[in-house]
Amino acid sequence: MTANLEAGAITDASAGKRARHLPGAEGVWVFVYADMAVFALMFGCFMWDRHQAPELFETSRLALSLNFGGINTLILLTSSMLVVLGVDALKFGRVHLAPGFFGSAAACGAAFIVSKILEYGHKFDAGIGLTTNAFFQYYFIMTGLHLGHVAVGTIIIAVLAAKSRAERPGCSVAVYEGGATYWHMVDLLWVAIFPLLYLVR
Amino acid sequence: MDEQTKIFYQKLSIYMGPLFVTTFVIFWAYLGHNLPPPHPDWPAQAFTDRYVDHLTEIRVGFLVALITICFYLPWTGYVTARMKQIETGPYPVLAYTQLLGGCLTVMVVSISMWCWVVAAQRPERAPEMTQMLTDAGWLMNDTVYMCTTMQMWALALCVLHDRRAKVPVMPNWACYLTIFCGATFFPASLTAILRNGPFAYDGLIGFWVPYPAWLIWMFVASYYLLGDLKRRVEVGEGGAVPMPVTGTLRPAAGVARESIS
Amino acid sequence: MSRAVKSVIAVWLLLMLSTAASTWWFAQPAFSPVPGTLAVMVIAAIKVVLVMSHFMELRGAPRPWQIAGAIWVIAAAGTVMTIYLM
Repeated sequence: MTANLEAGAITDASAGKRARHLPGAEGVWVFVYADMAVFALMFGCFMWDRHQAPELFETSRLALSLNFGGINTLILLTSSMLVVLGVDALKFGRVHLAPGFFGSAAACGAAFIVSKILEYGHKFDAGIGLTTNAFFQYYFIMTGLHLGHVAVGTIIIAVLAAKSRAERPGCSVAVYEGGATYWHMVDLLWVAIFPLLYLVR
Repeated sequence: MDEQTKIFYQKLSIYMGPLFVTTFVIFWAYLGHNLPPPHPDWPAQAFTDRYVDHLTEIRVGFLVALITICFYLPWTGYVTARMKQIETGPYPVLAYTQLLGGCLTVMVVSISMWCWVVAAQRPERAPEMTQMLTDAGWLMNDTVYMCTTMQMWALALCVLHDRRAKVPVMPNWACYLTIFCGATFFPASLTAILRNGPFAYDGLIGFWVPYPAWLIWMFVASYYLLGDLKRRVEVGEGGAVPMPVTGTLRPAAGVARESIS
Repeated sequence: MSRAVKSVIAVWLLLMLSTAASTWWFAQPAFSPVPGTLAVMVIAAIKVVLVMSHFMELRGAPRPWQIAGAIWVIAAAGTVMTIYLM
Protein backbone atom coordinates (compact mmCIF):
# COMPACT_ATOMS: atom_id res chain seq x y z
CA MET A 1 0.00 0.00 0.00
CA THR A 2 2.52 2.57 1.17
CA ALA A 3 6.14 2.64 2.16
CA ASN A 4 5.69 2.99 5.90
CA LEU A 5 2.74 0.60 6.12
CA GLU A 6 4.99 -2.14 4.86
CA ALA A 7 8.13 -0.99 6.62
CA GLY A 8 9.87 -3.65 8.60
CA ALA A 9 8.62 -6.34 6.26
CA ILE A 10 12.13 -6.88 5.10
CA THR A 11 14.06 -10.06 5.52
CA ASP A 12 16.88 -9.93 8.00
CA ALA A 13 19.64 -11.63 6.04
CA SER A 14 22.23 -11.35 8.80
CA ALA A 15 20.27 -13.61 11.13
CA GLY A 16 21.37 -16.95 9.72
CA LYS A 17 21.93 -19.07 6.66
CA ARG A 18 18.22 -19.09 5.85
CA ALA A 19 17.01 -15.50 6.01
CA ARG A 20 14.76 -14.95 9.00
CA HIS A 21 11.52 -13.16 8.20
CA LEU A 22 9.04 -11.39 10.42
CA PRO A 23 5.63 -11.55 8.73
CA GLY A 24 3.97 -8.18 8.13
CA ALA A 25 5.08 -4.82 9.44
CA GLU A 26 7.19 -4.71 12.57
CA GLY A 27 4.64 -2.36 14.16
CA VAL A 28 1.90 -4.98 13.98
CA TRP A 29 4.04 -7.16 16.23
CA VAL A 30 4.61 -4.32 18.67
CA PHE A 31 0.83 -3.87 18.82
CA VAL A 32 0.18 -7.61 19.14
CA TYR A 33 2.65 -8.15 21.98
CA ALA A 34 1.46 -5.05 23.85
CA ASP A 35 -2.14 -6.22 23.53
CA MET A 36 -1.22 -9.71 24.70
CA ALA A 37 0.59 -8.24 27.69
CA VAL A 38 -2.60 -6.45 28.79
CA PHE A 39 -4.57 -9.69 28.49
CA ALA A 40 -1.86 -11.53 30.48
CA LEU A 41 -2.36 -8.94 33.24
CA MET A 42 -6.08 -9.73 33.21
CA PHE A 43 -5.35 -13.48 33.42
CA GLY A 44 -3.26 -12.83 36.51
CA CYS A 45 -5.98 -10.68 38.10
CA PHE A 46 -8.59 -13.35 37.34
CA MET A 47 -6.56 -16.16 38.89
CA TRP A 48 -5.76 -13.98 41.91
CA ASP A 49 -9.40 -13.12 42.58
CA ARG A 50 -10.34 -16.75 41.96
CA HIS A 51 -7.78 -17.72 44.59
CA GLN A 52 -9.60 -15.46 47.10
CA ALA A 53 -13.02 -17.05 46.47
CA PRO A 54 -12.62 -20.49 44.86
CA GLU A 55 -16.13 -21.73 45.73
CA LEU A 56 -17.86 -18.70 44.23
CA PHE A 57 -15.81 -18.97 41.05
CA GLU A 58 -16.42 -22.72 40.75
CA THR A 59 -20.20 -22.55 41.28
CA SER A 60 -20.45 -19.61 38.86
CA ARG A 61 -18.32 -21.38 36.27
CA LEU A 62 -20.82 -24.26 36.25
CA ALA A 63 -23.37 -21.87 34.72
CA LEU A 64 -21.20 -21.53 31.59
CA SER A 65 -21.77 -23.68 28.53
CA LEU A 66 -18.66 -25.73 27.70
CA ASN A 67 -20.15 -26.64 24.34
CA PHE A 68 -20.41 -22.99 23.30
CA GLY A 69 -16.85 -22.26 24.43
CA GLY A 70 -15.38 -25.39 22.86
CA ILE A 71 -17.10 -24.92 19.52
CA ASN A 72 -16.03 -21.26 19.46
CA THR A 73 -12.43 -22.41 19.91
CA LEU A 74 -12.77 -24.82 16.99
CA ILE A 75 -14.26 -22.03 14.85
CA LEU A 76 -11.39 -19.64 15.53
CA LEU A 77 -8.69 -22.29 15.05
CA THR A 78 -10.19 -23.19 11.69
CA SER A 79 -10.43 -19.54 10.74
CA SER A 80 -6.77 -19.01 11.61
CA MET A 81 -5.75 -21.96 9.47
CA LEU A 82 -7.77 -20.63 6.53
CA VAL A 83 -5.92 -17.31 6.81
CA VAL A 84 -2.60 -19.16 6.74
CA LEU A 85 -3.76 -20.93 3.56
CA GLY A 86 -4.86 -17.59 2.07
CA VAL A 87 -1.49 -15.94 2.65
CA ASP A 88 0.26 -19.05 1.36
CA ALA A 89 -1.84 -18.97 -1.82
CA LEU A 90 -0.84 -15.35 -2.44
CA LYS A 91 2.82 -16.10 -1.80
CA PHE A 92 3.07 -19.14 -4.04
CA GLY A 93 1.23 -17.91 -7.09
CA ARG A 94 -2.19 -19.51 -6.55
CA VAL A 95 -3.69 -16.07 -6.15
CA HIS A 96 -7.16 -17.13 -7.37
CA LEU A 97 -7.61 -19.27 -4.23
CA ALA A 98 -6.90 -16.43 -1.78
CA PRO A 99 -10.31 -14.66 -1.80
CA GLY A 100 -12.04 -17.95 -0.97
CA PHE A 101 -9.75 -18.68 1.96
CA PHE A 102 -9.99 -15.15 3.39
CA GLY A 103 -13.74 -15.05 2.78
CA SER A 104 -14.29 -18.33 4.65
CA ALA A 105 -12.07 -17.10 7.47
CA ALA A 106 -14.16 -13.93 7.78
CA ALA A 107 -17.32 -16.07 7.76
CA CYS A 108 -15.88 -18.04 10.73
CA GLY A 109 -15.31 -14.73 12.51
CA ALA A 110 -18.94 -13.77 11.90
CA ALA A 111 -20.06 -17.21 13.16
CA PHE A 112 -18.06 -16.65 16.36
CA ILE A 113 -19.77 -13.29 16.89
CA VAL A 114 -23.25 -14.80 16.37
CA SER A 115 -22.52 -17.67 18.73
CA LYS A 116 -21.21 -15.26 21.37
CA ILE A 117 -24.34 -13.12 21.11
CA LEU A 118 -26.49 -16.24 21.57
CA GLU A 119 -24.39 -17.24 24.57
CA TYR A 120 -24.72 -13.79 26.16
CA GLY A 121 -28.48 -13.96 25.47
CA HIS A 122 -28.74 -17.21 27.44
CA LYS A 123 -26.86 -15.62 30.34
CA PHE A 124 -29.07 -12.52 30.36
CA ASP A 125 -32.19 -14.73 30.20
CA ALA A 126 -30.91 -16.58 33.26
CA GLY A 127 -30.61 -13.23 35.06
CA ILE A 128 -26.81 -13.21 34.91
CA GLY A 129 -25.06 -9.93 34.12
CA LEU A 130 -21.80 -7.99 34.47
CA THR A 131 -22.46 -7.09 38.11
CA THR A 132 -23.75 -10.51 39.25
CA ASN A 133 -20.48 -11.42 40.96
CA ALA A 134 -16.70 -11.29 40.57
CA PHE A 135 -16.60 -14.32 38.29
CA PHE A 136 -19.17 -12.99 35.83
CA GLN A 137 -17.46 -9.60 35.90
CA TYR A 138 -14.36 -11.29 34.49
CA TYR A 139 -16.42 -13.50 32.21
CA PHE A 140 -18.21 -10.60 30.54
CA ILE A 141 -15.20 -8.26 30.43
CA MET A 142 -12.63 -10.75 29.11
CA THR A 143 -14.96 -12.33 26.56
CA GLY A 144 -16.36 -8.87 25.70
CA LEU A 145 -12.94 -7.32 25.07
CA HIS A 146 -12.04 -10.39 23.07
CA LEU A 147 -15.28 -10.10 21.10
CA GLY A 148 -14.29 -6.52 20.24
CA HIS A 149 -11.02 -7.89 18.87
CA VAL A 150 -12.95 -10.52 16.87
CA ALA A 151 -15.22 -7.84 15.38
CA VAL A 152 -12.25 -5.70 14.29
CA GLY A 153 -10.44 -8.79 12.99
CA THR A 154 -13.44 -10.00 11.01
CA ILE A 155 -13.64 -6.62 9.27
CA ILE A 156 -9.89 -6.69 8.53
CA ILE A 157 -10.06 -10.21 7.09
CA ALA A 158 -13.15 -9.35 5.04
CA VAL A 159 -11.35 -6.30 3.61
CA LEU A 160 -8.33 -8.47 2.79
CA ALA A 161 -10.66 -10.98 1.07
CA ALA A 162 -12.03 -8.20 -1.15
CA LYS A 163 -8.57 -6.76 -1.79
CA SER A 164 -7.09 -10.15 -2.70
CA ARG A 165 -9.47 -10.51 -5.66
CA ALA A 166 -7.45 -7.89 -7.54
CA GLU A 167 -4.01 -9.35 -6.76
CA ARG A 168 -1.65 -10.87 -9.30
CA PRO A 169 1.07 -13.47 -8.71
CA GLY A 170 4.17 -11.97 -7.12
CA CYS A 171 2.21 -9.27 -5.28
CA SER A 172 3.41 -7.86 -1.98
CA VAL A 173 1.92 -9.84 0.92
CA ALA A 174 3.06 -7.56 3.79
CA VAL A 175 -0.42 -6.11 4.39
CA TYR A 176 -1.96 -9.61 4.33
CA GLU A 177 0.66 -10.89 6.73
CA GLY A 178 -0.03 -7.99 9.08
CA GLY A 179 -3.77 -8.71 9.11
CA ALA A 180 -3.09 -12.43 9.50
CA THR A 181 -0.79 -11.82 12.47
CA TYR A 182 -3.52 -9.82 14.21
CA TRP A 183 -6.11 -12.52 13.46
CA HIS A 184 -3.85 -15.26 14.84
CA MET A 185 -3.44 -13.22 18.01
CA VAL A 186 -7.22 -13.09 18.37
CA ASP A 187 -7.24 -16.89 18.02
CA LEU A 188 -4.34 -17.26 20.46
CA LEU A 189 -6.06 -15.12 23.08
CA TRP A 190 -9.21 -17.22 22.87
CA VAL A 191 -7.12 -20.39 23.19
CA ALA A 192 -6.01 -18.96 26.56
CA ILE A 193 -9.25 -17.28 27.71
CA PHE A 194 -11.49 -20.29 27.04
CA PRO A 195 -9.75 -22.76 29.41
CA LEU A 196 -9.23 -20.04 32.01
CA LEU A 197 -12.91 -19.12 32.29
CA TYR A 198 -14.68 -22.32 31.27
CA LEU A 199 -12.38 -25.20 32.21
CA VAL A 200 -10.38 -24.31 35.35
CA ARG A 201 -11.93 -26.29 38.20
CA MET B 1 8.72 36.17 10.98
CA ASP B 2 12.16 34.99 9.93
CA GLU B 3 13.04 31.34 9.47
CA GLN B 4 15.07 31.07 12.67
CA THR B 5 12.18 32.37 14.76
CA LYS B 6 9.73 30.03 13.07
CA ILE B 7 11.93 27.04 13.78
CA PHE B 8 12.33 28.21 17.37
CA TYR B 9 8.58 28.26 17.95
CA GLN B 10 8.16 24.91 16.24
CA LYS B 11 10.79 23.36 18.48
CA LEU B 12 9.29 25.03 21.54
CA SER B 13 5.88 23.61 20.66
CA ILE B 14 7.25 20.08 20.48
CA TYR B 15 9.11 20.49 23.79
CA MET B 16 5.81 21.52 25.38
CA GLY B 17 4.70 17.88 25.06
CA PRO B 18 7.32 16.30 27.33
CA LEU B 19 7.07 19.37 29.56
CA PHE B 20 3.35 18.71 29.93
CA VAL B 21 4.03 15.07 30.83
CA THR B 22 6.61 16.04 33.44
CA THR B 23 4.42 18.65 35.10
CA PHE B 24 1.42 16.31 34.91
CA VAL B 25 3.29 13.60 36.80
CA ILE B 26 4.61 16.04 39.41
CA PHE B 27 1.47 18.12 40.01
CA TRP B 28 -1.45 15.94 38.96
CA ALA B 29 -0.16 12.55 40.04
CA TYR B 30 2.27 13.25 42.90
CA LEU B 31 1.10 16.48 44.60
CA GLY B 32 -2.54 15.79 43.71
CA HIS B 33 -2.33 12.48 45.59
CA ASN B 34 -3.42 10.48 42.58
CA LEU B 35 -0.58 7.98 42.99
CA PRO B 36 -2.28 5.67 43.86
CA PRO B 37 -5.72 7.09 43.10
CA PRO B 38 -8.44 7.11 45.77
CA HIS B 39 -10.35 3.84 46.01
CA PRO B 40 -13.89 4.20 44.61
CA ASP B 41 -15.34 1.80 47.18
CA TRP B 42 -14.19 3.83 50.20
CA PRO B 43 -16.85 5.21 52.55
CA ALA B 44 -17.63 8.86 51.84
CA GLN B 45 -15.75 10.11 54.90
CA ALA B 46 -12.47 8.72 53.55
CA PHE B 47 -12.76 11.07 50.55
CA THR B 48 -13.15 14.07 52.83
CA ASP B 49 -10.21 12.90 54.96
CA ARG B 50 -8.07 12.63 51.87
CA TYR B 51 -8.69 16.30 51.02
CA VAL B 52 -8.42 17.55 54.62
CA ASP B 53 -5.17 15.70 55.31
CA HIS B 54 -3.39 16.91 52.17
CA LEU B 55 -5.30 20.10 51.45
CA THR B 56 -2.42 22.38 50.42
CA GLU B 57 -0.71 19.79 48.25
CA ILE B 58 -3.92 18.87 46.48
CA ARG B 59 -4.86 22.50 45.88
CA VAL B 60 -1.41 23.47 44.57
CA GLY B 61 -1.14 20.26 42.57
CA PHE B 62 -4.37 20.63 40.62
CA LEU B 63 -4.19 24.41 40.25
CA VAL B 64 -0.75 24.18 38.66
CA ALA B 65 -1.70 21.12 36.60
CA LEU B 66 -4.73 23.05 35.30
CA ILE B 67 -2.30 25.62 33.90
CA THR B 68 0.31 23.23 32.56
CA ILE B 69 -2.26 20.96 30.87
CA CYS B 70 -2.46 23.70 28.23
CA PHE B 71 1.11 22.88 27.16
CA TYR B 72 -0.72 20.14 25.28
CA LEU B 73 -2.13 22.81 22.94
CA PRO B 74 1.02 24.08 21.16
CA TRP B 75 2.16 20.47 20.82
CA THR B 76 -1.15 19.60 19.16
CA GLY B 77 -0.78 22.71 17.00
CA TYR B 78 2.63 21.67 15.72
CA VAL B 79 1.45 18.11 15.04
CA THR B 80 -1.51 19.47 13.06
CA ALA B 81 0.74 21.64 10.92
CA ARG B 82 3.16 18.76 10.37
CA MET B 83 0.32 16.41 9.41
CA LYS B 84 -1.01 18.96 6.89
CA GLN B 85 2.36 18.75 5.12
CA ILE B 86 1.81 15.00 4.72
CA GLU B 87 -1.89 15.21 4.01
CA THR B 88 -1.52 17.81 1.25
CA GLY B 89 -4.47 19.53 -0.37
CA PRO B 90 -7.49 21.41 0.90
CA TYR B 91 -9.03 18.52 2.88
CA PRO B 92 -6.60 17.53 5.62
CA VAL B 93 -9.22 15.64 7.64
CA LEU B 94 -6.77 13.54 9.66
CA ALA B 95 -4.87 16.65 10.69
CA TYR B 96 -8.10 18.37 11.76
CA THR B 97 -9.35 15.29 13.62
CA GLN B 98 -6.06 15.23 15.48
CA LEU B 99 -6.39 18.97 16.21
CA LEU B 100 -9.93 18.62 17.56
CA GLY B 101 -8.97 15.54 19.57
CA GLY B 102 -6.02 17.32 21.13
CA CYS B 103 -8.04 20.43 22.04
CA LEU B 104 -10.84 18.42 23.57
CA THR B 105 -8.38 16.27 25.50
CA VAL B 106 -7.26 19.43 27.28
CA MET B 107 -10.88 20.25 28.11
CA VAL B 108 -11.68 16.73 29.35
CA VAL B 109 -8.65 16.57 31.63
CA SER B 110 -9.28 20.16 32.77
CA ILE B 111 -12.91 19.52 33.67
CA SER B 112 -11.87 16.45 35.65
CA MET B 113 -9.36 18.50 37.65
CA TRP B 114 -11.88 21.32 38.01
CA CYS B 115 -14.16 18.88 39.89
CA TRP B 116 -11.33 18.15 42.32
CA VAL B 117 -10.49 21.82 42.72
CA VAL B 118 -14.12 22.44 43.66
CA ALA B 119 -13.95 19.59 46.17
CA ALA B 120 -10.80 21.08 47.69
CA GLN B 121 -12.25 24.58 47.84
CA ARG B 122 -14.65 23.66 50.69
CA PRO B 123 -13.43 20.37 52.16
CA GLU B 124 -15.87 20.74 55.08
CA ARG B 125 -18.75 19.94 52.70
CA ALA B 126 -20.91 16.91 53.38
CA PRO B 127 -18.64 13.90 52.69
CA GLU B 128 -21.08 12.54 50.12
CA MET B 129 -20.59 15.69 48.04
CA THR B 130 -16.81 15.44 48.19
CA GLN B 131 -17.12 11.80 47.21
CA MET B 132 -19.36 12.71 44.30
CA LEU B 133 -16.99 15.42 43.05
CA THR B 134 -14.07 13.00 43.22
CA ASP B 135 -16.05 10.35 41.32
CA ALA B 136 -17.21 12.92 38.77
CA GLY B 137 -13.62 14.00 38.08
CA TRP B 138 -12.42 10.46 37.54
CA LEU B 139 -15.33 9.48 35.35
CA MET B 140 -14.80 12.58 33.20
CA ASN B 141 -11.32 11.31 32.34
CA ASP B 142 -12.18 7.65 32.21
CA THR B 143 -15.30 7.75 30.06
CA VAL B 144 -14.62 10.72 27.75
CA TYR B 145 -11.31 9.42 26.43
CA MET B 146 -12.38 8.92 22.82
CA CYS B 147 -11.27 12.45 21.84
CA THR B 148 -7.73 11.48 22.79
CA THR B 149 -8.01 8.11 21.08
CA MET B 150 -9.12 9.86 17.88
CA GLN B 151 -6.19 12.27 18.13
CA MET B 152 -3.74 9.40 18.48
CA TRP B 153 -5.25 7.26 15.73
CA ALA B 154 -5.39 10.17 13.28
CA LEU B 155 -1.71 10.91 13.85
CA ALA B 156 -0.69 7.25 13.52
CA LEU B 157 -2.70 6.68 10.33
CA CYS B 158 -1.42 9.86 8.74
CA VAL B 159 2.22 8.93 9.35
CA LEU B 160 1.62 5.33 8.24
CA HIS B 161 0.22 6.55 4.91
CA ASP B 162 3.07 8.99 4.26
CA ARG B 163 4.25 8.05 0.78
CA ARG B 164 6.63 10.89 0.05
CA ALA B 165 8.96 10.88 3.03
CA LYS B 166 12.19 8.97 2.72
CA VAL B 167 12.25 8.89 6.50
CA PRO B 168 8.74 9.00 8.02
CA VAL B 169 7.92 11.27 10.96
CA MET B 170 7.69 8.26 13.27
CA PRO B 171 8.93 4.74 12.56
CA ASN B 172 6.39 2.03 11.83
CA TRP B 173 6.51 0.55 15.33
CA ALA B 174 5.87 3.92 16.99
CA CYS B 175 2.73 4.37 14.85
CA TYR B 176 1.35 1.01 15.94
CA LEU B 177 2.32 1.75 19.55
CA THR B 178 0.27 4.94 19.21
CA ILE B 179 -2.72 2.93 17.99
CA PHE B 180 -2.31 0.50 20.89
CA CYS B 181 -1.97 3.24 23.51
CA GLY B 182 -5.17 4.83 22.20
CA ALA B 183 -6.94 1.47 22.40
CA THR B 184 -5.94 0.89 26.05
CA PHE B 185 -8.45 3.60 27.05
CA PHE B 186 -11.49 1.54 26.07
CA PRO B 187 -11.67 -0.70 29.18
CA ALA B 188 -11.67 2.50 31.26
CA SER B 189 -15.37 2.88 30.41
CA LEU B 190 -15.95 0.08 32.92
CA THR B 191 -14.92 2.45 35.73
CA ALA B 192 -18.45 3.87 35.44
CA ILE B 193 -19.92 0.51 36.48
CA LEU B 194 -17.37 -1.32 38.63
CA ARG B 195 -16.06 0.11 41.89
CA ASN B 196 -13.73 -2.70 42.87
CA GLY B 197 -10.95 -4.75 41.30
CA PRO B 198 -8.79 -4.18 38.22
CA PHE B 199 -11.49 -2.35 36.22
CA ALA B 200 -12.28 0.32 38.84
CA TYR B 201 -10.80 3.81 38.46
CA ASP B 202 -7.91 2.92 40.73
CA GLY B 203 -7.41 -0.53 39.20
CA LEU B 204 -4.73 -2.12 37.06
CA ILE B 205 -6.73 -1.92 33.82
CA GLY B 206 -8.69 1.20 34.81
CA PHE B 207 -5.70 3.33 35.81
CA TRP B 208 -2.26 1.70 35.72
CA VAL B 209 -2.38 0.72 32.04
CA PRO B 210 -4.16 3.61 30.23
CA TYR B 211 -2.64 6.63 32.04
CA PRO B 212 1.00 5.53 31.63
CA ALA B 213 0.21 4.49 28.04
CA TRP B 214 -0.98 8.03 27.27
CA LEU B 215 2.09 9.67 28.83
CA ILE B 216 4.57 7.22 27.31
CA TRP B 217 3.02 7.82 23.89
CA MET B 218 3.48 11.57 24.34
CA PHE B 219 7.19 11.04 25.07
CA VAL B 220 7.74 8.66 22.16
CA ALA B 221 5.88 10.90 19.69
CA SER B 222 7.75 14.02 20.88
CA TYR B 223 11.09 12.25 20.53
CA TYR B 224 10.42 11.40 16.90
CA LEU B 225 8.83 14.79 16.14
CA LEU B 226 12.03 16.47 17.31
CA GLY B 227 14.12 14.18 15.13
CA ASP B 228 11.83 14.94 12.23
CA LEU B 229 12.10 18.69 12.81
CA LYS B 230 15.89 18.44 12.85
CA ARG B 231 15.76 16.53 9.56
CA ARG B 232 13.44 19.10 8.03
CA VAL B 233 15.74 21.95 9.04
CA GLU B 234 18.77 20.18 7.60
CA VAL B 235 17.15 19.59 4.23
CA GLY B 236 15.91 23.17 4.27
CA GLU B 237 12.20 22.51 4.64
CA GLY B 238 11.74 24.73 7.64
CA GLY B 239 9.34 27.24 6.17
CA ALA B 240 5.79 27.20 4.95
CA VAL B 241 6.51 26.04 1.41
CA PRO B 242 6.60 22.26 1.29
CA MET B 243 9.62 21.14 -0.61
CA PRO B 244 9.17 18.05 -2.76
CA VAL B 245 11.34 15.30 -1.41
CA THR B 246 13.47 14.08 -4.27
CA GLY B 247 16.25 11.59 -4.62
CA THR B 248 18.88 14.27 -4.16
CA LEU B 249 17.68 14.88 -0.64
CA ARG B 250 18.27 11.32 0.40
CA PRO B 251 21.91 11.75 1.56
CA ALA B 252 20.99 14.81 3.61
CA ALA B 253 18.08 12.97 5.21
CA GLY B 254 20.38 10.07 5.93
CA VAL B 255 22.87 12.37 7.63
CA ALA B 256 20.06 13.93 9.64
CA ARG B 257 18.96 10.51 10.78
CA GLU B 258 22.50 9.64 11.87
CA SER B 259 22.86 12.79 13.88
CA ILE B 260 19.67 12.08 15.86
CA SER B 261 20.68 8.68 17.12
CA MET C 1 0.41 -27.49 -1.85
CA SER C 2 3.69 -26.40 -0.28
CA ARG C 3 5.29 -28.43 2.49
CA ALA C 4 4.71 -25.57 4.91
CA VAL C 5 0.97 -25.82 4.24
CA LYS C 6 0.95 -29.56 4.91
CA SER C 7 2.57 -29.00 8.29
CA VAL C 8 0.08 -26.21 9.05
CA ILE C 9 -2.83 -28.55 8.36
CA ALA C 10 -1.28 -31.18 10.61
CA VAL C 11 -0.90 -28.56 13.35
CA TRP C 12 -4.52 -27.48 12.86
CA LEU C 13 -5.70 -31.09 13.30
CA LEU C 14 -3.64 -31.39 16.47
CA LEU C 15 -5.10 -28.12 17.79
CA MET C 16 -8.67 -29.27 17.06
CA LEU C 17 -8.13 -32.65 18.73
CA SER C 18 -6.46 -31.19 21.80
CA THR C 19 -9.27 -28.63 22.15
CA ALA C 20 -11.80 -31.46 22.03
CA ALA C 21 -9.79 -33.46 24.57
CA SER C 22 -9.59 -30.48 26.96
CA THR C 23 -13.23 -29.55 26.69
CA TRP C 24 -14.98 -32.88 26.56
CA TRP C 25 -12.60 -35.08 28.59
CA PHE C 26 -10.12 -33.39 30.99
CA ALA C 27 -12.61 -30.73 32.09
CA GLN C 28 -15.54 -33.12 32.58
CA PRO C 29 -16.68 -34.02 36.11
CA ALA C 30 -15.53 -37.63 35.58
CA PHE C 31 -11.90 -36.45 35.52
CA SER C 32 -10.50 -35.46 38.94
CA PRO C 33 -10.30 -31.63 39.17
CA VAL C 34 -6.67 -30.75 39.90
CA PRO C 35 -4.91 -33.12 37.46
CA GLY C 36 -7.63 -32.37 34.90
CA THR C 37 -7.15 -28.61 35.25
CA LEU C 38 -3.37 -28.88 35.07
CA ALA C 39 -3.71 -31.00 31.93
CA VAL C 40 -6.01 -28.34 30.45
CA MET C 41 -3.51 -25.59 31.30
CA VAL C 42 -0.52 -27.44 29.86
CA ILE C 43 -2.49 -28.25 26.70
CA ALA C 44 -3.50 -24.58 26.40
CA ALA C 45 0.14 -23.47 26.72
CA ILE C 46 1.19 -25.96 24.04
CA LYS C 47 -1.63 -24.76 21.80
CA VAL C 48 -0.51 -21.15 22.24
CA VAL C 49 3.04 -22.14 21.29
CA LEU C 50 1.76 -23.97 18.20
CA VAL C 51 -0.33 -20.98 17.11
CA MET C 52 2.68 -18.69 17.59
CA SER C 53 5.18 -20.90 15.80
CA HIS C 54 3.08 -22.27 12.91
CA PHE C 55 0.25 -19.77 12.37
CA MET C 56 2.02 -16.55 13.28
CA GLU C 57 5.19 -17.90 11.63
CA LEU C 58 7.42 -17.12 14.59
CA ARG C 59 9.40 -20.25 13.63
CA GLY C 60 11.26 -18.33 10.99
CA ALA C 61 11.19 -14.93 12.70
CA PRO C 62 14.24 -13.06 14.04
CA ARG C 63 15.38 -14.25 17.44
CA PRO C 64 14.25 -11.25 19.58
CA TRP C 65 10.65 -11.68 18.43
CA GLN C 66 10.76 -15.38 19.28
CA ILE C 67 12.15 -14.60 22.71
CA ALA C 68 9.39 -12.05 23.33
CA GLY C 69 6.77 -14.66 22.43
CA ALA C 70 8.40 -17.26 24.67
CA ILE C 71 8.47 -14.77 27.56
CA TRP C 72 4.73 -14.17 27.16
CA VAL C 73 3.92 -17.89 27.24
CA ILE C 74 6.17 -18.55 30.23
CA ALA C 75 4.93 -15.49 32.14
CA ALA C 76 1.23 -16.09 31.44
CA ALA C 77 1.24 -19.87 31.95
CA GLY C 78 3.62 -19.59 34.91
CA THR C 79 1.48 -16.99 36.70
CA VAL C 80 -1.77 -18.86 36.08
CA MET C 81 -0.41 -22.23 37.22
CA THR C 82 1.43 -20.81 40.24
CA ILE C 83 -1.66 -19.04 41.54
CA TYR C 84 -3.78 -22.11 40.81
CA LEU C 85 -1.49 -24.35 42.87
CA MET C 86 -1.13 -21.83 45.73
